Amino acid sequence: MQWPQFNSLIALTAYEVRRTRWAWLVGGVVLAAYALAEFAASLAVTESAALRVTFYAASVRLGLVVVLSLLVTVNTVRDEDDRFLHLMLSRPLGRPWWVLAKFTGYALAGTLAALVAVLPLCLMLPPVPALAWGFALACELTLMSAAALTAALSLSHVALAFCAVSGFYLLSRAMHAMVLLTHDSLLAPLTSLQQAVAWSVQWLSYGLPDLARFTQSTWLIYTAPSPIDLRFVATETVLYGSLLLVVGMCDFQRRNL
Amino acid sequence: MRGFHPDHRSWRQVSRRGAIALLVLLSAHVMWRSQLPTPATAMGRLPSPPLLAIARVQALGDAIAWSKFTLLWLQAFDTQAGTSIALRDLDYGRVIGWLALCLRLDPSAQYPLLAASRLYAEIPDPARSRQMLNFVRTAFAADPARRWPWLAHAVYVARHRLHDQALALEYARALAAAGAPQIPHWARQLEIFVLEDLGELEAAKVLLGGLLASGQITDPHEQRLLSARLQSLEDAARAAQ
Repeated sequence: MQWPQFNSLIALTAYEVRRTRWAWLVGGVVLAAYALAEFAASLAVTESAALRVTFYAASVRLGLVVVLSLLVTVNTVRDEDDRFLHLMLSRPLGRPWWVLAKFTGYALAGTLAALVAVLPLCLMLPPVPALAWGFALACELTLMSAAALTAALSLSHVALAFCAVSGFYLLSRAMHAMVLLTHDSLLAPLTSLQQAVAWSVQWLSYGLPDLARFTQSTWLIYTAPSPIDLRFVATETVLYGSLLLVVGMCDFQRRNL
Repeated sequence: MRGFHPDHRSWRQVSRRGAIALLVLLSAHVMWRSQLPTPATAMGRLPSPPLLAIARVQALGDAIAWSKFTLLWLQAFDTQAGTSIALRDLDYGRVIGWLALCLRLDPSAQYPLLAASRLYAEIPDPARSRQMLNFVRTAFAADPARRWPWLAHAVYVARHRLHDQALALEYARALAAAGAPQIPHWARQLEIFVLEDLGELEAAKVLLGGLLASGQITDPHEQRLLSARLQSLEDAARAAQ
């Protein structure tokens, strides 16, 4: 393991992120989400504060996931297209370490974005729920940067990789409800086909992170998250993030460059 | 002036023909759009609400945000672009369906019941108003501690707008019978005032006397007020005899 090369690659990724005007993008997303939330709150007859917080949280989360996924896929595919990847791999640094260094750089960018996104919430709410939500957002963005990096390395095409990441995100967020839907007691008794579908959806859910439990609006307007909630978020991030990276590393090692 | 990208040349480097074409096209587009008539509005019908499980999938894991967004959409449905639908022209069965769905997705929210009792119930259509009040009554039973203000308002609507004292009494009794300690005394006492309106002075007297004797009223001002009320009821009952 060559730490200087590894650290340099993280610094290089951070520099790349800075050059893509990440700060402007994040600032723009935060401002747009806040403007949308203010607009929604101005329409509300009651609970306008809750509405403002909920709209801000939901829109800033979606906005940051989209821009981070785009940043990671575009930069990774461009590295390969410009042969910059080949240059990097000619250095004494193994492919897995290259993947890990790139991921670390993007995860740091996601965490910084989560920090910026949580600032308006700290002005609207007590610090504990706001910071807990910010922590969950940082974890969600970390997972998404791992997913985007893996998709870009495997598919080597921006449109394909971004579609794959978007599908992964939507499915991971909706899977909890889809499991409930397939086990709906209204449909009981289930036919064999319905049982097979329910079984397949259940097994598919085991292979995806439960993102619906990450940044919950209820933490912001009703009850602050319990330590169990936050422990789940941290464990899922470490476990599933590692899984995604290993998938990316394995696929990357198979590639003839 | 430099562009956003540091490698870009100044705007002055753009050819005169290019700049003129840009200005002409922009002006032409603005003029063309300003000449077009206002888009014709097609009065949309309120769609049926989806199943709870489908709505959960659509919410992508954030049921509260989905519920709040849907409430704003529903609230704005009677004011569509360029036209305004009277609330009484809305399909109240569907409105109730949407409100109930939002309440199921976000059970702590007050918005759906506020909209039901203060917006949709206060229309000059007694049948629809009753429909909405009935929704408030049903929702109250699921969480009296949080939803009592809307049933208290339903008592007011039934009593003063619909002039249906029997309905008001039914709601007031539901408020009085609910075990939640969060319901304040004045809300529990609504039954007494409705009974008084109905001319059931004896029943009102018994209830008020019972409330005072129970020791639930601890505030001296409230005790004095209710005692005076009891006295006036007794006077009225005596005069009636």
